[in-house]
Amino acid sequence: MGGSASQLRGEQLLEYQELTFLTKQEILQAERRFLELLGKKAAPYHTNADLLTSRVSTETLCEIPELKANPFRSRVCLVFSSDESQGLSFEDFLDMLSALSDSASVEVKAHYAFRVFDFDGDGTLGKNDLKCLVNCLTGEENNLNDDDMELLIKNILAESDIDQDGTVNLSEFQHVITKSPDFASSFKITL
Amino acid sequence: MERPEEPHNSGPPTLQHRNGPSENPADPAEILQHLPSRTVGQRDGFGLMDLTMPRWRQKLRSLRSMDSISNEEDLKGSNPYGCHDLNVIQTMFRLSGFKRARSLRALPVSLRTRRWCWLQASGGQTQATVAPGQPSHQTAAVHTHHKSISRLLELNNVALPVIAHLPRTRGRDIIPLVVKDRPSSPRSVGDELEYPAVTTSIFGKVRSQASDCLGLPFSLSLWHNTLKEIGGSFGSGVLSYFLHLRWLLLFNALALCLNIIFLLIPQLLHPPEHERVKPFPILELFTGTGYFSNTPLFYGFYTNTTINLVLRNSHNEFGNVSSNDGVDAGYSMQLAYLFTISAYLFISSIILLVCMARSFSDNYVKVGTAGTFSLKVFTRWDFNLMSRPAVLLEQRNIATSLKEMLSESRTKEHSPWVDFVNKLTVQPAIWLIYLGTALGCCSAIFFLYEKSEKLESQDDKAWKSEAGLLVLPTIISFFNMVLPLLYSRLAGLEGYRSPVNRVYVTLVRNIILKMFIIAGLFYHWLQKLSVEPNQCWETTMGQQLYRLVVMDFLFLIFDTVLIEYIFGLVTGGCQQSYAQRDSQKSEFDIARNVLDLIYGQTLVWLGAFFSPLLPAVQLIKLLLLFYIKKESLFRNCQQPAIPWMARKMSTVFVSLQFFPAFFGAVAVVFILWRQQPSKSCGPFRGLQVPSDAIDVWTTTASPKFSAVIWILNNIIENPIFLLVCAGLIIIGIYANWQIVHGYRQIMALLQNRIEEERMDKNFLLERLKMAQGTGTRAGNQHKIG
Repeated sequence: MGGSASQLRGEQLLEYQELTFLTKQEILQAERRFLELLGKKAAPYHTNADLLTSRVSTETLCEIPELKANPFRSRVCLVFSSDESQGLSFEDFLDMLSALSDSASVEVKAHYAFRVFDFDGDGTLGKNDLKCLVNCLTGEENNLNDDDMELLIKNILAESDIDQDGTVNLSEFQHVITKSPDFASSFKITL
Repeated sequence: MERPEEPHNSGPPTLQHRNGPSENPADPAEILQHLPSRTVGQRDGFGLMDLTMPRWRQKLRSLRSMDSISNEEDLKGSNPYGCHDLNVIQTMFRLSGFKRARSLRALPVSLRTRRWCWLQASGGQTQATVAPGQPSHQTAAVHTHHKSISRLLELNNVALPVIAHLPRTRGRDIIPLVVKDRPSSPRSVGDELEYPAVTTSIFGKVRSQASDCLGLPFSLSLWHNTLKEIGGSFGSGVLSYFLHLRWLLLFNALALCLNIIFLLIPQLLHPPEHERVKPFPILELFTGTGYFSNTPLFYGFYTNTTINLVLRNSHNEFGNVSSNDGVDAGYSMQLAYLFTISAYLFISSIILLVCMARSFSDNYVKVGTAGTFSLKVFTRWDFNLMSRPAVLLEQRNIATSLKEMLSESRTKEHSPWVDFVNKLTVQPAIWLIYLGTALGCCSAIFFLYEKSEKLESQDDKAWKSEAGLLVLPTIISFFNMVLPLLYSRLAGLEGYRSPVNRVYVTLVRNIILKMFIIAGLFYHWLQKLSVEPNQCWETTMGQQLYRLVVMDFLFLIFDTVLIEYIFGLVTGGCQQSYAQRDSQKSEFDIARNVLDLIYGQTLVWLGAFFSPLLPAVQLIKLLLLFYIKKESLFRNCQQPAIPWMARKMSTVFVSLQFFPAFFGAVAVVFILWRQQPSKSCGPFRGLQVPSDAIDVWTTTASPKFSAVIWILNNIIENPIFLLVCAGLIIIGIYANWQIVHGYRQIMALLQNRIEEERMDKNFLLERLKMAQGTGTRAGNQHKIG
């Protein structure tokens, strides 16, 4: 965690500490990992401007050990990317780590979890989203058969769809999340 | 973020996205699609309002998310929900730096947007928010930044409130646009990319410094990488065991620090004289007698002298209070011992109580009526898992448990009477068996103990009698190893609905059994030992507890190695395919291991009074245990099949830790207040009860302590003070309970309200459709006609 190797200036570091949930060590660690990821495809960048402007492609990011085995990895990268076609910038990367850090509040985590689970990006979790979610959870080999899936989705909607419109919107999702104290500790990635 | 990842074949037509302007803007389907509640994932940053939140935070919650506006038309169409709430920014600007930072951090928007918000909020009053020492060119840069933003807005012909969307819209980053307006020299490119740093107040700076200092030490970064590996391969459940171990390590480290600073070091400056015992055989490491009797390990080492802190040649006579040579700075070992032990127990109890209360409120108060399926699906996935085999296994576990839950929900309606019969016959039978075995075990222990004592007194050989001391701890540890296995088998027979309940019940039974054994032994020793006049009974008690701790450790090692050895032989060390459930690999039994931890820690808490350095022994034991368990885990265990809810489990662990600790503290308090200390050794010799040390001090202390003495006599020892405290606590509990009750009622009312709104909405849509239908027909008729 040497400060000498860091490309970030003091004020930038302080700014990131103020605006995210990360501590100074975590930010420096993130910077190191990000530079490693950049360095994989071209000559290592060393300037501050390059750190802030360059982007890591989604595929590269999905290969890091923390995300490699995660079935939601591509969704996570998409959600936090500010420009899907070009990948994640350093600040997007910090956003991701901040939302998935230990000290992030449950509301922030619930919001981003909702967006990760919203596979079609329409703002609610419809039947298709729930189907994709369950398939991701069970993995390809263990998919539930159609009957089970129907029953499961019916039960989920019965429990969490408060306004009975057939989809789970953000408020309902957060309502379910607040009932689980484990969510904050399981929706977490540390470098 | 509009790219659908699957074709919308089976979804209702109303949810499909349009790609161009629709022909019928008043079509109910279109309206439904753009309803605020449907687009709330894109617009709104927050969910339900928390009624307990102060007003400024509620305002903040109404800030809409400034993310992901997909279409330019949406932007220009001045969608009311796309408006950025300037009031919120102004509210934020009125907050102090710390509060602003905290609420800003909680906005689920991109970092760039947050930075913009901060700048907006601080832009109006840069003088106040600029930390002293910041160069003034910062404020100029802020203004430049604002000018560029407003120029940008003119260029794009959008209203100021809508700028908030721009940072996240595809290809609309502020940075490149602003850069385009500037001459493109590398220097200025660099300048433009440097935002004026979010100026932090002094408070923010201090806080970040503090978090840097505290972020480094022992407690938070100890074993960080190892724990991450464990969590990655085995999930949060197993991780919670190791976290609990690390937490207990902190407790012991705290006790050790206190004891070393306040007891050991002063006593070592003036060590009492004891006859030199011959060098110890290894057996004494386990029994704690002989050589160890007169070491600082046990109570007997400490004297009741008043040690002169200034190392003058004051003469310490054995057993007498020394003369002070006129210096008042005497360090009374009696008081030190009393207060150190009490302080440590008090602090431990408070910490445990606070942790327990906090996790209790998280787990039981807020949960209310939770749906199991939705909870399971939404919160089940553990993002900590990193290794592919673990992920595959976890997916298999989830699939199995989902199928089980589904089949249960199908058959639930069919046979409720099975449950009923179960409750009436099987469960009481199992409880009877449990009680029977518990009583049998206790009586066996006592019987064997009596027998071993008789043997002890008969034996002439020294080492045999010393080895005989080890019989009792061995028996107890053996029962501790065997009985939990028996109980978990019994619980399996009972047919509990959920496996987690089974685990809870087994845990509780084991704890009760162990507490009975320890309590019985403790009481027995107190009765027997304290009546013997010449013996230093506290040291003997300390030695008994020391032996229990050491034996417990040896049996834990034996148990772990046994698993490893046996399963290692069976599998032959070959690698199995991880996708299947490894029938030859044992599951890491979290409950049993945590139980062992709790039991060990209870012994230490009980023994803290009799053996001040026992926490050191426990510290070493825990350190070694961590590495042993880790090795065993990686070699031959797999993650548990039932989903271990980590947070809930830690609540359970902490509560289970609390109750024995509380009873241990009560036992020690009892000894301090009622039991006569032995006359020939220890810091309390010569007193009737150890707490008399306080009285002795109050009567002989100098007048400058009179205020403290007054407080002691009139407040702390006054029963009315305790009554008042207890009354306040009870009132607080009742008030909180009523508040929770009220919230539940409000929630039920609001749910009804939401349902009614939905019915209203559907009704209006139907009417609209009907109106549309007649209107089009009329229009067509008009056209034709």
